[in-house]
Amino acid sequence: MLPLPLLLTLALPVRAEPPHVFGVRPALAPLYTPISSKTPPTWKCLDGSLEIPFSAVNDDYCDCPDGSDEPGTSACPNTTFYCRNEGHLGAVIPSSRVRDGLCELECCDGSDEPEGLCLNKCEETGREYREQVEAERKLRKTGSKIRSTYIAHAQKEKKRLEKELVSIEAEIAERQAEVDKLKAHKEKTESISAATMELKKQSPLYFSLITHSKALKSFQRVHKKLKERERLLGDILTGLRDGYNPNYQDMAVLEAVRGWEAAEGLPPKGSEDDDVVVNSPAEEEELEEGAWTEGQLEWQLNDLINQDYLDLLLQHETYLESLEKPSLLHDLSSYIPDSIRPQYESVRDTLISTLQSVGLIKGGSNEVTEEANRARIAFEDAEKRLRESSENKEDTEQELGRLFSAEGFGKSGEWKKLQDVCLEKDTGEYIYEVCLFGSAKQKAKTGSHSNLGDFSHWNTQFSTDDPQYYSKQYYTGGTRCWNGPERSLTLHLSCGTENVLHSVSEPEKCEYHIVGQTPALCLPLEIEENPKVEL
Amino acid sequence: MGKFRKWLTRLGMVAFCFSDAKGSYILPNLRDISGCPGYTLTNVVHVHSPPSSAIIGDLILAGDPCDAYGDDLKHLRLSVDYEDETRIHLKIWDASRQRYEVPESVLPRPSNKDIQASASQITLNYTASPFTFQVVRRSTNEILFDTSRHPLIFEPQYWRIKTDLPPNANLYGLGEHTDSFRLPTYNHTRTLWSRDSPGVPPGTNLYGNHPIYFEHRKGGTHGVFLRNSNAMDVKLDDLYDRTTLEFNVIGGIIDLYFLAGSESSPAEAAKQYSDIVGRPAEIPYWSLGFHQCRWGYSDFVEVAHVISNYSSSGIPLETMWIDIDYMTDFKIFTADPEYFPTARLREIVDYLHLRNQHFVLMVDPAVGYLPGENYQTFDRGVQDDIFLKNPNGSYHLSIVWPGVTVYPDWFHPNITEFWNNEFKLFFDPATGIDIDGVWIDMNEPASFCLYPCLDPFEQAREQDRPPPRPASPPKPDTPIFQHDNTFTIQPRGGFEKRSLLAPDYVPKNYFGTLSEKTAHVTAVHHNGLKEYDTHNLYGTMMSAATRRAMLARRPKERPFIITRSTFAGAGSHVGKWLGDNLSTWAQYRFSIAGMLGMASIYQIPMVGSDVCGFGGNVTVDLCARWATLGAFNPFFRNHNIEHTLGQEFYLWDLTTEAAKKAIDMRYRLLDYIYTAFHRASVDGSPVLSPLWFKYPADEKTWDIDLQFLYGDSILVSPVTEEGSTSVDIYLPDDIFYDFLTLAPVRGHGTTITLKDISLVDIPVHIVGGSVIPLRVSGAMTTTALRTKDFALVVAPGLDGEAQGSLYIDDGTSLVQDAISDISISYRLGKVSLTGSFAYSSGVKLASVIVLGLEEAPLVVLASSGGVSLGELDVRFDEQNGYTVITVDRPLDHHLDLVFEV
Repeated sequence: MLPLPLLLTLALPVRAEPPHVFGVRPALAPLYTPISSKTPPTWKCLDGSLEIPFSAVNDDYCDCPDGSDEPGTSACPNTTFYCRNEGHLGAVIPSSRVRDGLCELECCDGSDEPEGLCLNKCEETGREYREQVEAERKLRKTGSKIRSTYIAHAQKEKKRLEKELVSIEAEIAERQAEVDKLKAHKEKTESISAATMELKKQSPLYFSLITHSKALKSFQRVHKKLKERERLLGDILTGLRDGYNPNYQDMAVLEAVRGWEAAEGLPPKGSEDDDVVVNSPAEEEELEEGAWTEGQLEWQLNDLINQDYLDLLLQHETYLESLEKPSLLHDLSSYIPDSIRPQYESVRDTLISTLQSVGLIKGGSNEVTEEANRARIAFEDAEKRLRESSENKEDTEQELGRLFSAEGFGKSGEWKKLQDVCLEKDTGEYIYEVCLFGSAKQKAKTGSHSNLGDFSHWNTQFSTDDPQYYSKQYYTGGTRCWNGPERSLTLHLSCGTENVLHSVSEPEKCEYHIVGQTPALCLPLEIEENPKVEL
Repeated sequence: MGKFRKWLTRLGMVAFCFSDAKGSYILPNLRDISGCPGYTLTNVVHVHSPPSSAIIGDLILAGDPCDAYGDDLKHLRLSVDYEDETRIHLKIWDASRQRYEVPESVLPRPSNKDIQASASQITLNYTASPFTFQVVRRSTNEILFDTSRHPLIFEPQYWRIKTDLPPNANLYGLGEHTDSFRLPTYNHTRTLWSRDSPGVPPGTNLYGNHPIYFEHRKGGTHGVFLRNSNAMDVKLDDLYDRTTLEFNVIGGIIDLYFLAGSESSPAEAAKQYSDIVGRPAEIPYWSLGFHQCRWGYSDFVEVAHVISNYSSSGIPLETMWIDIDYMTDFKIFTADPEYFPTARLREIVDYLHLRNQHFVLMVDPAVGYLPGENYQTFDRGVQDDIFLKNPNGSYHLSIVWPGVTVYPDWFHPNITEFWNNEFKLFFDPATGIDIDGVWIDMNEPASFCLYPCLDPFEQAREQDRPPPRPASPPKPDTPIFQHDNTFTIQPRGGFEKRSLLAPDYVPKNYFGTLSEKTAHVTAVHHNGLKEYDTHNLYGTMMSAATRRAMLARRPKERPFIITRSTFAGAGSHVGKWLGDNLSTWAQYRFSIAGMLGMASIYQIPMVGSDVCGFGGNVTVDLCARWATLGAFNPFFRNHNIEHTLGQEFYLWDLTTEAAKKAIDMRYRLLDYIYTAFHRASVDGSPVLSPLWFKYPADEKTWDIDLQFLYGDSILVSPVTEEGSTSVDIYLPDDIFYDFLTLAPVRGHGTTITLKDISLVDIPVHIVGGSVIPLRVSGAMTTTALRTKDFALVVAPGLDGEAQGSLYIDDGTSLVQDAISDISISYRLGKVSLTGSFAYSSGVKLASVIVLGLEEAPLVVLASSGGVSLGELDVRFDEQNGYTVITVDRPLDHHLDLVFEV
């Protein structure tokens, strides 16, 4: 592979070639020398298979099996012809197109056809080409400067992340220590509290409460049954009252009806305001102070029965304790000067819990369970904080890993700067939005959008060393198409001074292609961008 | 062959070539059936003493079995009934074992008048051995159906009946399909097996199944209906001297109805078919208005905008629809609390109802399988035990929009109660969404689970179902606007053991195996029936159940229901849209043949395609053209898929103009087509017709399916090519009148070119000999339309006469208190309105317009029941030769207009 300038210098000095090297690539020209020792001079086919008279080279007759004797004619099949294109770049075409009456675009010098048929446009074509190359070069130069700032950014990011990692690690160590400490504390308090709870349940008060509750429950069930029965009987009697035939004078019936009317405060059947309740059924019952009304019984009894009796028990004890004067040890803190109080408290807590655990003093037994609760919450909080830190660490490590990797932001980290940069293209019908390394969307003007996928990989058809590798980004796993695949997007990128999207197409159903440019692809000029150009 | 082949079949290896004992090669469906012996008819008994000609007899296998796709049945039974003057019923079944046949609860059988063969227009002649038969039209001695060269084959999972037909036979029907209306007869297979058919590809089996064909000849038109719901291939082929047609069916019985049709009037065949499968349900007047729908409206705000935009653009919107989008995670009978909260939907419904507009929602059959997640529809379904099951009794799981789902079992005795209750709760006028109509979809039944669907949960996860919403929800307070279902099996011999999953004969299902993307053929209904047999009935059974549920909500009103999957007889419950088409010109074109099949043959006249196309982005030109064609779809709905550009008519100036013009024509003609719908519900008269129904003797009309008759007297000839502003139309030898200019156009049995048809226009002609009732103008709603006066357009035929009719009722009630059914005739300078005038429409007959007159009558005298009403004003249009007579009288009495020339 030769760099471009060299290629041009090679092409230019060769002029007025001898006829036998017509159509031969400059690099192969030395091979077209006659073997002068023979008379007439001979020539060996390039594959060495045959020796032919030198005059048979380019005589429009194919002698060599490899076709090498006819570089400048179309006599041999499957061979190539080289046009020198002076003023521009040499080009290779299939020999079959030589002398076919058509001017080949590749041969701007017209050498593929007899003289006079095709104009020599090489000067013009070459100039345009060089201008274009120069423009690209400029673009690349500017682009690569921007790119270098991207790389610098990545370096900074790296340092920042590394620093962050160090501090996270320190934080983790710290939090781990705290978790260990709180865990021990939690376990200790829990073992104490479970035992005390059992002890408390032995309280006669609690025992009696439970019995009361059970009795209430049974009472409520019976009450409900009776109410239902009363309603039923009432219905029967109301039915009787509405439906009986007063003309039959059945005294038993009449008495039942009158009795019912009296009990319910209904007017005698047949009176004018039949369906108006005359007076309230019974005079307001005199209620004992604090006694429940029927409504309360119906609605509030459940609350009473469903009370958490254990909780009640604990509340009760707290209440009792508040009445007692706390022991000196418990409340010594009020006598301690403020300045040394924290130290004292921590010593005290340790002391108390030690004393409690060996049964030397009676702990505020409620405090014990509450303490257990607090210990558990504190432990869980600490654990959560630790988890957060670990996750944070993982994230940071991952980010650091992606920073200079071919799967992530490129080996030089030149793409890092573009993470979460969102580019848009308005096609009139839709707005396409690509958040680089994030997700892509097709947004309708109505506000709804289709997800076109999330960033998944680079162009893995090429090796990670090939610049082509970074020329395509694949976004996959978008919203599923009706009767089709999930939407996906291929972002085709090339070097440009701006991050911009140029055009959108959908060559296959639900597979979108967007063409765009980015400075991240502008390699410095000294690095060959496309190693595949041949002479 | 024998054991070896069966073993291979069990391994699913029949697709490979193997040499059998006879040395021939076995390919699926290429078994050698030439050696099949046929049957011998014996013990023929006349069931009743004369006058009946009904017979029954035994068919005994006539030789060595050929065992082509299973063992030949040894002993069959045959019955032949002359059910009435136009219908013969032939039935062949297994004498020794019970076989499935289409339950009468799904498709009732017609009444049997049991007449004598001599009174029938067609007769069935048979040869006893091997048993073959011919159906003959008595008046012409023409053979309509002829199996004489093709002995019967009857095996447990394969049977075949084959007839010879005249060469290049004119066959129509055998849908649902998107092939040409006149079926291709060369090597053409029509497979019937319900299938979710995105893009409705031609040449494939689609959503619905109608094993009925009409055959048209110079000597008349007749019909043949196979009452069978199993998967089948109906094969057509051209030989050098004849066309052949064969039914290849993998189950059920041979249950054929031969319809005499008519020598001169093809529509008679349609009417006779309606005797067997039922006549179309009457539709509400408003359902003929314009409907707007799309899949992918993101929230209630967008729906409200669409309604407002139609209103402000001046395009009449009768009914707004919402697709599955309104549901919570696509669960039926739920409304998304964020995107489509019930309260806001109620607001939309109130808004629409206040303006005499209507509202339709979609309901799918599949219920999200969500045990323990407080999804009440599912929980109630479990409680009522109404879901379709696997042979082992577990629920048959599939994947539909909400993810893993179960299917309602329409055969279950509790299903009516369940379905009615769900409708009652969710569509409660007081607390829920008070829909006016319902749209039922995915009822093939469709599934997204790929066979064998071993782990639907995993597949649902992979397919990301239900998918997330594409946009964030709107603010919740965003302002807007300013019968009997049991089928009992008679005990008789028990069922044959069958290989449901791998029948030897493989019908040409486009999805491959029959269980692909649907309920598996092994799924069992409550009454023991298998999906193998009843699959093709699923959509129609859902239709019937949904009709009951809608009737339970509004017992006095005609329900409005649109379904996707249909079987023979579906039209007596519901209407049908032509499924998920695409926004292309080809689909625009074949939508006409699709409609003709449903409306002129299958007795499902409330039909239309998704106007402007469902899948893909539509171009403005196509959408404008489709708007004008859509105005002549009986069911006229613009519908679109999610994630594409909008295609509401108001979005482009061109479509706005096209829609306004076309809807104006449609609305002025609304009572004309409503009258046609009423006729259909009475006698099965087709609501749309192919041209040849009107001109059966004109051979050039036989394969026309880009022009059609709307009702029986309006010829619609849309421009059908992209980028074209002209259209070649065929006009038979008759007189026509341009619908807009009213100028006469004489047809000469040739194709003429209409030029300069702008994108907002559609050529429409009145066929001579008809009287067309019109409203004097269109309106923004059909309710407003009903306050417009009538005009009658009299279009005399070549004989100078014209007939027409106008049916009016209240437009919604199942049972009408009073109707007007007015016949209008024109003959010898006299227009007569006779018939009943009991329905008080509150509008007048504004004018009578007589077309094609050379000069105006000097005086027109009106009289009613012999009482003179005096002279009427007359105005003559010289340019287009028509006369406008101002009547301006209530349309409540007989009326005669006599012309003095």
